[in-house]
Amino acid sequence: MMKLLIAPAVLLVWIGTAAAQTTETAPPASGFDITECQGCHDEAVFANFQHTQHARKLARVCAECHGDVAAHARMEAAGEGAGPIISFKTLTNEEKNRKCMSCHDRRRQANWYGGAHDRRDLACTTCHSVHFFRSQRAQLRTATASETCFSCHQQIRTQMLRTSHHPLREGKMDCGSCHDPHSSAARGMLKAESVNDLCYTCHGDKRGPFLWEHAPVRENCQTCHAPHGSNHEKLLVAKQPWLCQRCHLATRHPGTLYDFRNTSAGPSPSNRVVEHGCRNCHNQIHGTNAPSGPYLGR
Amino acid sequence: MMKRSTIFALALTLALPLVAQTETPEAKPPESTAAVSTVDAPATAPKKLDLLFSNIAAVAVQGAWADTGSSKFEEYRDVTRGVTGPDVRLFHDSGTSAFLFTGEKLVTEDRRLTLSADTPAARIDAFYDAIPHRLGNNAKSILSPVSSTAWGLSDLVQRSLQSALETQFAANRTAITYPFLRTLVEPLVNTPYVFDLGYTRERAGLSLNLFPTGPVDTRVSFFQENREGDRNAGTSFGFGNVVETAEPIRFVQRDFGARLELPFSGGLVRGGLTINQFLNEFSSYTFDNPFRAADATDPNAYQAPGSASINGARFARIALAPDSTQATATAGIVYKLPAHSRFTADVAYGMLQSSATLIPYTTNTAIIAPLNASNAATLPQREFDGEIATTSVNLQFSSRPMNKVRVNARYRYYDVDNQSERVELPGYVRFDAAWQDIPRRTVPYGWTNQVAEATAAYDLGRVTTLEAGFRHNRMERTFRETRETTEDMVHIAADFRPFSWLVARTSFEAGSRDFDEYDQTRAESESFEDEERTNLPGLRRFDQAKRDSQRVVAMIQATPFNGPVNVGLNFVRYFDDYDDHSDFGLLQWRTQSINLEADYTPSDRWSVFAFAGADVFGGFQRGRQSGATFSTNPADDWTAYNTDKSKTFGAGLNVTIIPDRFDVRLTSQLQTVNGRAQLESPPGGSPDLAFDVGHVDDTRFLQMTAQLTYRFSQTWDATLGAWLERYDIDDDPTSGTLPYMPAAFFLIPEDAGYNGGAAFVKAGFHW
Repeated sequence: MMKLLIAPAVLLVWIGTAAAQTTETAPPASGFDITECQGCHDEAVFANFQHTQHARKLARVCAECHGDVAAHARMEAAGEGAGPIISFKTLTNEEKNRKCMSCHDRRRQANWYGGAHDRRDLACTTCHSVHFFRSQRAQLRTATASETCFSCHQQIRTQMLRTSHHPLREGKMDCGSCHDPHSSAARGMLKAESVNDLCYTCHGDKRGPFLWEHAPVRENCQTCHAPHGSNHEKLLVAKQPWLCQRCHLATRHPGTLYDFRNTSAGPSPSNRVVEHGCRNCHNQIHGTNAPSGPYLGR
Repeated sequence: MMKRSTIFALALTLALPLVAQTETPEAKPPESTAAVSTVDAPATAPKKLDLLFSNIAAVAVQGAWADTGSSKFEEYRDVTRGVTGPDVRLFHDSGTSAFLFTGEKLVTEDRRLTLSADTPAARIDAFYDAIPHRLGNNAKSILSPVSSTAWGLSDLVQRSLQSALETQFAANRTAITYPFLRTLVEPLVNTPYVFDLGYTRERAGLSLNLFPTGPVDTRVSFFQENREGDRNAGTSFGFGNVVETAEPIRFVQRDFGARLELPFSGGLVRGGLTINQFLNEFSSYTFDNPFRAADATDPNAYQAPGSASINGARFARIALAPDSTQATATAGIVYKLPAHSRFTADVAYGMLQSSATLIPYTTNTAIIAPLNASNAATLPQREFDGEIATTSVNLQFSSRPMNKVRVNARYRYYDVDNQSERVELPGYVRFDAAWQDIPRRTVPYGWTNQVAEATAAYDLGRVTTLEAGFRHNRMERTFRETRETTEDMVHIAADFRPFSWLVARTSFEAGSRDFDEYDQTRAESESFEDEERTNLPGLRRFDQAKRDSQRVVAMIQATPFNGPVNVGLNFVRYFDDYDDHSDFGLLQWRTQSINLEADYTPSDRWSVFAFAGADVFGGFQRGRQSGATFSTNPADDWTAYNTDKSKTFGAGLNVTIIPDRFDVRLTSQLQTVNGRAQLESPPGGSPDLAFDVGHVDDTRFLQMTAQLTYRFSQTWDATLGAWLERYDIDDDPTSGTLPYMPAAFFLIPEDAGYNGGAAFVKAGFHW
């Protein structure tokens, strides 16, 4: 336990030392009020935008993101065109990102640069919309986070429709339950240090450590499970016994061929195939504390 | 459990005073120094229906039906008959603070509530979510629950069955076959205890972002989840006697997190602590042996009941998941450098700990030699404390040194140091039936993974970006066949943006994995004190085996005609080939998916979308059937090619019949999956013949929804809706399972296909 306190203690000392270096992150005020933009841009200003943190925290000033709005209004009124206004439609994705990151370069967004989405040249506005969002949280362009992700990761949507699935389509989870789309250190943009650490946050009964462990379980849950969806029970990547026989081909029954004859539809049903296959006996597949459990059956 | 109401009361207690305290007269905007605008604002802004931030209360009356009792119809949801909802949304915005409460299906078992409060002093988010997990309805057990942790059968029945077996065993043991046993247990099977398998997850959480505009970003979070119910468990008395039962679930899982982040002129520093605790009310549970009223043992008892033996334990005990805690401390820095560069470093140290009092070797009191195995005092130790330390280091450097160039480098180190003690046992009891005089010792598996990768990208004008990269992955393992595996992957990617409305992205990865040595004997022998064990020669476990891998991803997205049309095409293929390096085990694994979607939104009045996809998951493996010793005859080989092929279609239509008055929404989706196990074996050996399993979890899922909403005014609306679903499954290993099949009693709950749906009328009040 003491070791766990060292890192935060060091960090607090560092924070105290660095405190003098903090800078104000709130943007400076400008003299053009949001209501003056509303005259022409009513839908962008009035609808849902007014209830956002952008509307509240930017002191109701459009200039913070869009530049010299006063000149824009003057030139538009004089019929001289849009003027020097910054329209996000004309910016490159990188320019858009730098604009957003001028305030949002912290917390999870601080990991953006160098991550997979950044390297694929996605913009913040690919997923988010400041003015015309459809979600109540995170100002997404779609009503739910999963819909946003599925617009590119279409194969995940079809996988989620499979019979064994996490409750995403029931609205109980979304992609953000496990992934951080702004990037993270873990592969697959996971919101934990490893696959197993992520799974244990909800499936603590699999965490152990156990007296008798199952090596691939300790290493990576995805050795056997497909978290985005599977047609086999418990999100398994393949049906038992064949899944287990990818690694277990010892003498006698582990190496035996089981085929249609051994299914419940066949003439010689076997308790190594019917229903849960190997788990009919080896139920404690994730590990067990039973002294007589070296084969994970107790 | 901390009651859901407590969490919300706490959140409200925090939120409302904060809102009250920060209520100030609306701040006067700074005086404009710009020239007076000559653009006059409209006298009255057009009133729009604020779809996201308004107050709503809605209640519905619903009728629902399903033609079967399948649990899949309500697997993760509650399909209520009668009054359902209500759904509530309350929103308040004072200009400086905002408060949002949503409640969905408040009277149902899958209710969800959220609360957000955004104030200058803090941002608060709270939630409560109930998720039913219906795993199978009307499960049938010959045992019945004696207590929360015991499934039993009457002693009279056990004595009767034991006596019948003893009589038959004495007269003619070879007649103890499935037909004989089936006749014996038929009265039990015909009068089962019927119950529903499943449990409910209740999750509640709270997160606080304190002083959001202050110099130190401070976040604290807490969630708790309660799970109560049961799930199926394969519990067995040996090869001849599986008795499927229901494992009791009384779990509590708590998670506490605290994170600090302090920006400075050069970047930011951050740190945090998370503690996740798992508590299990039950440490074990027991289940009766239908065929034994008294404990007995012999060397063949784990094969009972049959011609070899009719002995065994009268009941057995299963150890359940122990209490455990995982605590992780993190610290890191993001440092910004010139040329749009930054360096990120994060370290984390974690500890997983579990603690359990060990159950005895067995429940079988007849096993008294070489030790009294049912007495916990004969165990070498009574307590087991597991401990694993995890250490991770993540370093990343990203830079845009020149306008057209981007480089990234990343190093990741993750170590799982399993410090659990190694326990030595003089032997163990097999299926509570027979002592195995084979000294064993536990094996605390650990591993260390290091990944180093670098990519460089170059922009060829505004149209094309090319990227190349390399990744080196090293895995070190303890107590396994390999000590070290290394995998090197090269990666190229290209993005094309020939027009503002067209983006194409492709990437290709290829590489191979190698190991230092593959020692089956070392791995297999690790848990045996005095014996050397090995595995089928030529078997290479795929998580360590040498392999060649390819990954292809291609995507096109087009938004022509300035927006109303959006088309996306996506192709993904992963292929792992072990075949050149392994003789047995998994030899090939591939996943391939192609998807197309399009939507058309010509105006605010209507839009239509459609999508289609096809994917394949396929694994090819080889095994060899052996008797008491490993076969060396290639004719004893067999192969299995397991595939899942799916096709998915979907479409939807949104139409505004009368603007701000009458909307129609229609959706439909269909997915079919065909699974198959293609099995082969050369003639002459054993198995000699192999018969394909033609239906492996074949499913068909069709869903259609329709919703018509009519707004009577800005205040009232009504929605008429309906949805239909059809789910079919055909699976040879499970279709037609009987409650008692050779060597196994099964629960056979109803979790198969259904036709079902619901229709509802919902009234909504908005203000």
